[in-house]
Amino acid sequence: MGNVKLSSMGKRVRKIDGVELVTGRAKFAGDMKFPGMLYGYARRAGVPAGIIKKRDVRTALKIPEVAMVLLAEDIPGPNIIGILPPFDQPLLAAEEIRYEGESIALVVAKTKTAAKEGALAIEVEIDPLEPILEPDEALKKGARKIHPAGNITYSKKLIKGDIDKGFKEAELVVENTYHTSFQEHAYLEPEAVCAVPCGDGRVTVYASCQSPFHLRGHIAANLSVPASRVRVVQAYTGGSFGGKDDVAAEIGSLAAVASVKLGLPVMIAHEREESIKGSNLRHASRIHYKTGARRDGTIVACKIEIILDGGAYSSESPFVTMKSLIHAAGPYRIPNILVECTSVYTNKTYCGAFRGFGVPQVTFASESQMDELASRLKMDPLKLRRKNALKPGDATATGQVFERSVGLLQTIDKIEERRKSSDLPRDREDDRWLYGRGFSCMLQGISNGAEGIDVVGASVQVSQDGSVLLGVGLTDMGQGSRTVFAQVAAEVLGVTVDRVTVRQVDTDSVHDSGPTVASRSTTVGGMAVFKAAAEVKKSLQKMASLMFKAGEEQVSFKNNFASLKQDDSARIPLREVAAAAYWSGFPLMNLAFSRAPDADFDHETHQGDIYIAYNFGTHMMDIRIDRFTGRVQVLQHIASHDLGRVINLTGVEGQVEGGSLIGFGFAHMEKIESEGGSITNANFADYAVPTVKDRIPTETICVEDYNPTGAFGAKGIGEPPVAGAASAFANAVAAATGVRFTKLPITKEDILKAGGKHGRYSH
Amino acid sequence: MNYLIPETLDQALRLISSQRNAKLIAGGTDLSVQIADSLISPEILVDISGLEELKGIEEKNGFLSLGAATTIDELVSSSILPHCLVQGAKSIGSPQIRNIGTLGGNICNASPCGDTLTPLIALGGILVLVSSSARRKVRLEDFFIGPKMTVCADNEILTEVLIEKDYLQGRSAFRMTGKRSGQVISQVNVAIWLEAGKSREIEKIRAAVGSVAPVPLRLKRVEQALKGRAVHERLLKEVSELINEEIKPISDVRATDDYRRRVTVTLFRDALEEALQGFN
Ligand SMILES: Cc1cc2nc3c(=O)[nH]c(=O)nc-3n(C[C@H](O)[C@H](O)[C@H](O)COP(=O)(O)OP(=O)(O)OC[C@H]3O[C@@H](n4cnc5c(N)ncnc54)[C@H](O)[C@@H]3O)c2cc1C
Repeated sequence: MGNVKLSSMGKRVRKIDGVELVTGRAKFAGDMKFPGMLYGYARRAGVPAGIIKKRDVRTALKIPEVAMVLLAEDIPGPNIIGILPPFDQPLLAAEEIRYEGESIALVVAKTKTAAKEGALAIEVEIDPLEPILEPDEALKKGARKIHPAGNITYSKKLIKGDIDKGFKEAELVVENTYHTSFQEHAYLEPEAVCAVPCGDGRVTVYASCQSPFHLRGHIAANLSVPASRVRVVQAYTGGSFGGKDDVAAEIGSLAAVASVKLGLPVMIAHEREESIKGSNLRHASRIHYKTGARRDGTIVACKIEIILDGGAYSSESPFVTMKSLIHAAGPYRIPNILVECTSVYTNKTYCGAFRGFGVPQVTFASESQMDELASRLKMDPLKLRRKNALKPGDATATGQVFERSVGLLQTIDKIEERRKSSDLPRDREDDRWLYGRGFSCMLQGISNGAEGIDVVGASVQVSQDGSVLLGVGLTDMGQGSRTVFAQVAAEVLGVTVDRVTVRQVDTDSVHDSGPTVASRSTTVGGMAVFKAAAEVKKSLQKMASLMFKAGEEQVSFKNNFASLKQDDSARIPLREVAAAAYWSGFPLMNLAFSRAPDADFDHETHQGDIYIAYNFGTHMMDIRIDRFTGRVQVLQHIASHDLGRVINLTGVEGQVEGGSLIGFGFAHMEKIESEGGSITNANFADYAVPTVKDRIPTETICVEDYNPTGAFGAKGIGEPPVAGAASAFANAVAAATGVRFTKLPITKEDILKAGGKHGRYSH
Repeated sequence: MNYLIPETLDQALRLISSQRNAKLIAGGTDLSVQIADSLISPEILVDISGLEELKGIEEKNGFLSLGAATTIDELVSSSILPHCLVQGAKSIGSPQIRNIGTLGGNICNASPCGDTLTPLIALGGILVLVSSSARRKVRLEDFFIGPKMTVCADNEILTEVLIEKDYLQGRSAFRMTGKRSGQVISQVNVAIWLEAGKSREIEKIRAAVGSVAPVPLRLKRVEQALKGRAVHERLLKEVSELINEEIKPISDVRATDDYRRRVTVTLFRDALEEALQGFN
C-alpha cells in the first residue's frame, strides 16, 4: 500500500483551515464563552526551592467574586501529572517546591482579575531551601535530593563497536565541550483550556493541546473517574512545538476538577509569563565530544558525554535522553561509538519536548566537530561529510541498516551544486562586513520508534451527498496535517479536497492515537486515513458497479464522479452513488488503524532497529557579520532534505522555513536569562524570539528517496530543519570570524566580544 | 477602575487636578503593560487620545508643532518631519503599536530607550506643558530626571512638542540596535542633527544617545569637539573617547554595559556619516 501514488502528490495545496485562521473566524480555547463560565488562576511558588509551611486561603475566599480555591487535598485523584515514568510532578504542590513556576493553589472566580487577586491573597509560607541550579551541583556527592530517588532523571549509554580499539586506530583526535541554552516554544497562543460539565456526569474539556489522549488520561485520573467519562476536544491550537502536553494536562486537570465540583464551566488561559515560567522548555545541554579519525578523513571513533539539564520534573526527559544518544554521532558511518547521556534534575522550570527533541543540541556539537576536524585535516568540510555519510546498507549508530531511503548523499549533491553556482561574496569583504558560509548534515528519526507503540486511528465517513468527514487521532497545531489528511482521503475517494472536512480531534470519536510527535503524522497517520478511506471506497465501488452494470474493477473515481475506466464519458456523480449505497445499506463509514513496524531494540546498549526511517538533511548558510555591532545578516540559506516523497509542497516549505527559523533563534537569539532560579526575561520584549522581520531567506530543496515504510513513501519533515539550520549557522559564524563558538546561542554580543580574525573589533 | 473620556483639554485638565489617583492615558501601550504587571494601579483613567487640541502636525509661528496625541504612525507617514524623527518613529514596535501609541506617551513614559526621545533632543525639541492655571515650556533635554521620571507634574498635560524651523534646514539621522530586527526595544539609540560644509566641516550639530544612562543624554562635549572641524578618522577617534566618557551604561536583561559602549560609538559614527552624506 505504501507505494500508492497520489495525483495531488508534490503539488501545492492550500491549508484547508487557512482562511478561518487568518481572518480570526477560528475560535481558540481562550475565545470560548459558556453561560456561567468562571476563570481559574494559579498561585505559584515564586521561589525555586523550599518546603511549604502554610497555605491559608481564607482571605482569598472573602473576595466576593471568588467561587472556590483548590488545594492539593481537593484533587480527588492522585494529584499527579507527567508524561512518562516516574510520573513525578504534582498537579498542585503541598509539600516541596521544586521550581518557581510550581502551582500551589487554583483560585476560581467570576472574573480573571478577581481570580488573580485571590491567588495573590492566599497566604503562603515557604521555608526556602538552597536551590540547586546547575547539573554539576545536582550530581555532586551528598547533594540535596530534589526527588526521593536522587537527582538523576535518566541515564543511559549507547555502545557500538569497541571504543578503545577505535581510538587506537585514530590518527587524529578532535575534542571539545559544547553548551546549549534553554529555549522557549514561544507559540503565538499561550496555553488555554475550558472545562464544561455536562450534567450526565461527564465533563468536556476544550483544550489548546498536542496530545488529547494524554490529557484525557490525566484528567480522568485526577478526577478519579473512568476515562470514558472525560471527553477532550482539541480546540484550534496556535502552535505547540512539543510545549502543550504536560502543561495542558496540568491546566486541563485543574479546570476539570474545579468545573465538576462547581457544576459550572471553568476556563484557564495562561498569560505569557506563566507560559514561559510554568511550562516546559528545551533542555539545556553540555556535550563533551571526542572524535577520532584517520588522516584520510575516515571517522573511526566517537566518544560523547551528554548532560541534559531537565529542570524540576522528568516530563519527557527519558525520551529526550534516548533521542540525544541515538543522534549524537550524526548521520555518519562510524564503527565505534560510545555515548553516555544523563538527564539531571535542577530547581528550574522543567524541560521536555520541543521540536527536534534533543537532536538540535547534539547536532550542533557533532557538526561543529565535523568542521573542526575538516580544518585540522585541511579538508573541505563538505567533502569530509560526504566521505563519512551514511549510505543505503550502512549501519547507523544503533546498528540499524536501511537498504532504502537513505538520501543523505543526494542532499549533499544538491548543496554542492548550489555552492558552485553561488559564490559567497567574500571579495566584498571590507572594513565593515565579514562573510562566512557554513554547512551541516543531520538526521532525525521518524516515528515513536522504540519509545513506544506507534498506532494511529482514523475514521472516514461518506455522506449521502458524497462529501467526506474525516477524523484522525493526531492534532494539527498549525503544521498542516489536516490538509495532508484531506489530500489523502480526497485522493482515495476521488473527490476534490473542498469536499473533505477534517474534524478537530475529539477523544469520543476516534481511536487513541498517542501523542502528535516525532514527525510522524504524515507517515503513520496518513496511512490510517488511507486504509479507512479505502474501506469506504469498497462500498462505493460495489454500488457504482451495480449502477454501471459493469465489474467493480471497471469503476474509478475522480473529481466527485464515478466513471468507467474504458469510457470516461460514462459517469455518475458521486453523490448519486453515495446516496444509492446508503439506501442499499452498504457501510459508508470506517474506522481504521495503522501501526508502524515494531522496533527491535536493546534499551541498555541502544542497539537495534529503532525508527521506521530517518529524514536526512544538508544545509548551507551564508551570512555576513557587522564587525562593529556583531549583527548577523543571513544572505542565503538552503535546506535540502530527503523526505521520501513530497505530499504537499506548500506544507513542506512551511515546515522547513518555520523549523529553520526556530533553529536560527536557538542558535543566535534566544536565551532564557535567570537569577537565583528565577527567569528574568519571561516576556517577548526581553526574550528575543525572532519576529517576521528576523526571518531568514530559507530555500527548500526536496530530495525524494522513496521510503517504503511511510504512507506514499513519505517521511516527516516537522523537526529536522531545526537542527540543520542551527548548526549551519554556528559553522557560518566560525567561517566568518575564525572563532569556534562552543556555546549556543551565539549572540551578536558574543560575536563582538570574541573578536576574531581581525582582532577585537572596535573603533 | 473608572475610564473617563473628556471632550476638551479643559475638561481633561479639570479631571486630573480634581480626582485623586487619576492617570492620563493616550494609546495605552505603555500604561496597560504597567497596569497588568501591577506596577501602578490608578483608580481613574483619563483618555486624551481623542482630543483635537492635541492632534496633528502643523507649522506655526516659526515652529513645527507636533500634537502630543499624534500617533507614532502619523509621524512615520509625515513628509515634513526631519529624517531622524521619522526613522526613530519607524523603529518603534510593530504596526499595531505604532497605530495607537502616541508621541506624548513615548515622551511622558520617559523610558531611557524611547525611540523618539533622542531625535527630539537632537532637534532641540521644546515641550509645552499645560495645567488648569498655567502653561510652561521645557526643553526636552531638561524634561527627564531619571528612568520613568520627568518634571511633568500630576496636574499637567503635555499638549505639543515644538521644533524650531531652523532644524528643518540641516540633515539628521537616527540609528538603533536591539536584540532582533522587529518589535524590539533599543539597546542603544543615537540621533544627530547637523549642518555642514562641502568638505565635511561641521557648522552646527546636536547629538543625543539613549539607553546608555538613566535619561536620554545630549552629548554636549561631543558636539563641542566636532563644531567647526572637518570630520575625518582622527577626529572620530577623539570623539569616540569623549562618547565613552559621557555615557554611563548599565548591564541589564537587554545588553551588557560593555556591548552598549561598543555599539554606541558605532551607531554614532553611522548616524554622523548618514547625516553628512547630504552635504557632499
Ligand atoms: C509591544 C510593544 C512594543 C513597543 N516597542 C517600542 C519601541 O520599539 N520603542 C519605543 O520607544 N517604545 C516602544 N513601546 C512603548 C510604547 O508603545 C511607546 O512608548 C508609545 O509611544 C507610548 O504611547 P502611548 O500613547 O501608548 O502611551 P500611554 O501608555 O497611553 O502613556 C504612557 C505614559 O505617558 C503618560 N502620558 C501620555 N500622554 C501624556 C500627555 N499628553 N501628557 C502627560 N502625560 C502623558 C501616561 O499617563 C503614561 O504614564 C512598545 C510597547 C509595546 C507594548
